[in-house]
Parts: sequence; structure tokens; C-alpha cells
Amino acid sequence: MSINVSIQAQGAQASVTLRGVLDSMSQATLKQQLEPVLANAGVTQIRLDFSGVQSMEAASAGMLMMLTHTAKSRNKTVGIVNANPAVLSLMHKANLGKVIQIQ
Amino acid sequence: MSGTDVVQDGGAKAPPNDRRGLPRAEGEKDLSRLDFLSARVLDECEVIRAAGGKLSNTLEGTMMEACSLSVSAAETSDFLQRSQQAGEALLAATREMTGLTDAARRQSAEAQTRAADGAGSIEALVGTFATIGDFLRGITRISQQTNLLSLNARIEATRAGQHGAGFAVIAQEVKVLAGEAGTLSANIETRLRDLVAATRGVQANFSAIVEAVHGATATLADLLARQRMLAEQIGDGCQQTVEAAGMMSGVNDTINRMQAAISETGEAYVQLTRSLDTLTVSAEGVVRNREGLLTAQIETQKALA
Repeated sequence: MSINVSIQAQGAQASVTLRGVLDSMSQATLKQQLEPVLANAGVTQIRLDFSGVQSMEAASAGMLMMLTHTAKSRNKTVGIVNANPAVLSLMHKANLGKVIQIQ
Repeated sequence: MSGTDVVQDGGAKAPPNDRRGLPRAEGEKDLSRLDFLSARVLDECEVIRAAGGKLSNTLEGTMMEACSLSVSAAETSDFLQRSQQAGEALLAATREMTGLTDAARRQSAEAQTRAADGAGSIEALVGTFATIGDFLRGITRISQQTNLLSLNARIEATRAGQHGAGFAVIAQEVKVLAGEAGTLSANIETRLRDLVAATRGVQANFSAIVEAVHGATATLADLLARQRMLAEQIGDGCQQTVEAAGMMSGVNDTINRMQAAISETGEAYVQLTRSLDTLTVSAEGVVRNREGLLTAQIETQKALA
């Protein structure tokens, strides 16, 4: 199952809603979809809404970590909201919380 | 000497000046060198950029692996913690069972002693029954002799005639009593034989019970030894689990440091990319401004001359 990405930019904040499974197959899609957001100098905050993410592979946490570094190099912050308990647990186990604000 | 020609040492003719009246050949030579160096810088920037791209991909791959490793390590730690808790619970249960088994073994040993005592008592009872049987046989013998005596008494009473009539009646009564005593004695002896037979059966059962309890005691003792061994093994397993959890904690720390190192390398890569961009812009600026540089160089030479 792939990931479905919808982006809504409003001022300095871009809200990215994800639906599906975040695995090795869907990582490339997410990165590709986020590239315009990262290139947009007007956006300083990227909010990843995980409410529609059913599950996530551990490696995807690494991808999100590096994505955060890329965003930081472009003066943007990344935050994750509404992750389900299983995904949240995996994020913390992968130490993702050290580099991304998870709510 | 014209204003546009430059005579060098030895009278050799200098190269022609450019349209601004400045020495063209020297400037062009420097500019060619500058072009060459700028092109080299730009080429090297591209090489570094390509290598940086690969580094970035490698870093991302390594970070993904590190995260997978981190999750695996965390889950292994959780598993070890649960195993440790389960092992400790199992150890406590095994120790409790060992205590119960030991109590059962002691009770079984006590039951074995009591059963052996009971078998001894039954043996004594059988001996008492034999003694009673001897007494009964004595009573039977006495009743038989009494019967015989009463017969003799009746004979003697008959011989005494009229005077012996009353004595004959008494002798008859004695005979009846002796007969009843003999019958009762025979009945008691019969019942006593039944009782002895039943008691022998009980004795046999008691012996079987003693043997069974003895077997149960031995089994419980064996079970107890095995439970103690099991408890020891579980205790060792718990200890090893604790040690493994400690090692996993070390692995977690290492993974954390690895992730931090990857992050720092990523930040260094970003810095490198920025510096590379600046260097590229500078090199491109040099190429774009080559005419200005040439002018500046000539002006500088003129000023120095």
C-alpha cells in the first residue's frame, strides 16, 4: 500500500497530510511531494499530519530525520502531529523525537 | 617610441597593445590562466557536488539503517525486560512449588511412618486374635469335659435311684449349659477366624499403602531435587537476561551516538554544499568579469610602471 500526500500551504506554514503506509516503497513519493515545499522560501514550518498513517517502517524514521536536516538547512522546522500510538511508539524507539517535534 | 609600442630590454619589439592602448599579450596570457583555473574550480565543484550527493544518499541510507537498528534494539530491550519479569515470576512460582513439594514430601514421609506403625499394630492385633483363639479352644475343651462330667453325674444319679433323682436333674442342666457354652465358643471361634481373615486383608492393604507412600515419598524427593535444579537454571537464565539487557543498553547508546554522528555529518554536508555554492558563484563571477580583471591588471601594471 502506498502513501497519499496532500499539501496545503498557508502563509509560512505548510500542512502535509499523509494517508496510507509509510514504507520503503512510499518514501520516494513523500520526498518527491515535499521537494516543492522545501524549495519554497516562504514556508518556514512544515507540519506533517500522521492521522491517516496506519503504520510505518522503522527505516522511514531515518528518512524523516534526514528530511528534517534538509529542512533545517533551508531554515524550516518540521513537526509531526496526530500519529497513532503504534507509529508514535516506533518514532520514539527510533529516536526521531530528538530531532523532530512530535505532538 | 610610439605611445602604443613598448620596447623591452635588448631592443626586442613588445607585443601590440589592445584597443585601449595597453599590452594585450600579457593580459591575455594571464586571462587564459585565469580561465583555466576558473574552469578547473568549477569542474572540481561539480565533482565535489556529485560526491556530496552520493554522501547525502549514503547518509540517508545509513540513518535509515540506524533507525531500524534503534527500533530493533529498543524492541529487543523490551523483550528482554519482559523475559526478565517472566523469568522472575517463574522463579518465584518454582520456589513456591519447591516449598509445597518439600512439605508434601515431609507429610508423605510422616504418612509412611504412620502406615508402618499401623501395619505393626495390625500384626500385634492378629497375635492377640490368635491368643483369644487359644482361649476359646480352652473354653470349648472345658465345655466338652463339663458335658462328659454331666454324663457321668447322670449315670451316678441313676445308680443312686430315688435319692439321685434331683442330682440327675442338675446334671441334665449342667449338660445343657455345657452344650450352650460349647456352641457359643464355636460361634465365637468362627467369627474370630473371619475377623482374623479380614484383619489379614487390612494388613495386606496397609503394607500396600506403606509401599505406595514410600514410592510417593521417593518421587516427591526426586521432584523436589528437579525443581531445585530448575529454579537454579531459571535463576541463571534471569541473570543472563539481565546481563543481555545491560549489553542492549550499551548497543542503544552506541546507536544513539551513531545517529548523532550521522546528523552532524549531515549538517557538515549542508555547510559544505553552501560553501560549494559560494565557491561556484565566485568562480563564475571571475569568468564573467574577466574583461574587468584584464583592465584592472593593465591598470595595475601601468601604475607600477
